[in-house]
Amino acid sequence: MTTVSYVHQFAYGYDEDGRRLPLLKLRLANGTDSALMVDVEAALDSGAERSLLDGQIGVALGLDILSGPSLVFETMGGGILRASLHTVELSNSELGEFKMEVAFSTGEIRRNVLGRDFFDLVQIGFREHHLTFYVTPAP
Amino acid sequence: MHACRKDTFAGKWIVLEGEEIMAHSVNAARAVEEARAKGVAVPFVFYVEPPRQPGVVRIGL
Repeated sequence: MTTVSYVHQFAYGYDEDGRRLPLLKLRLANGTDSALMVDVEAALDSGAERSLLDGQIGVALGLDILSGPSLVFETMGGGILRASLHTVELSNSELGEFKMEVAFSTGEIRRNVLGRDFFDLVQIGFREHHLTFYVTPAP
Repeated sequence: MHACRKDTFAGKWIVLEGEEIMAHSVNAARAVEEARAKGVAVPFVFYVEPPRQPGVVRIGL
């Protein structure tokens, strides 16, 4: 059996109904203009193949959202979300910095999601009963 | 967020600076732009999800 140790631990955040979910606070930057940084929260979702952020956050970062390669997200119910890929800098005060190609939605979404492409950059573990997740900022 | 504010801002993106709401809009970029105009260097923007009906749970996207 493999035993994994983690460096950082985070308490689950709250949604608007007071329900708990694994949220990670991130600072986003477009890599060329440090005056256009934005802080967001994103839900950690091991069922999402790719991370997806609301496209208007990309606009706030100074990105020309529709200029990036396109990507289609298919939801569990068969719905479609269209997005565009852009490389951005993500940072967290405890985990440090990551450069990552992130999908920005072309329409509105209600929740930013960090998917398995982010999980590929870190080691992450969940203790749902304890409403806590653990991260080591290296794969 | 306080319950009365939650109802007021449901369905909108808001920018918080400490406990103060600096900007709000149905559009995240507009909320950020408004907050920057008020001197917020790095706006923290998040979406206020509408309250859920009883018996509704969320799954992924």
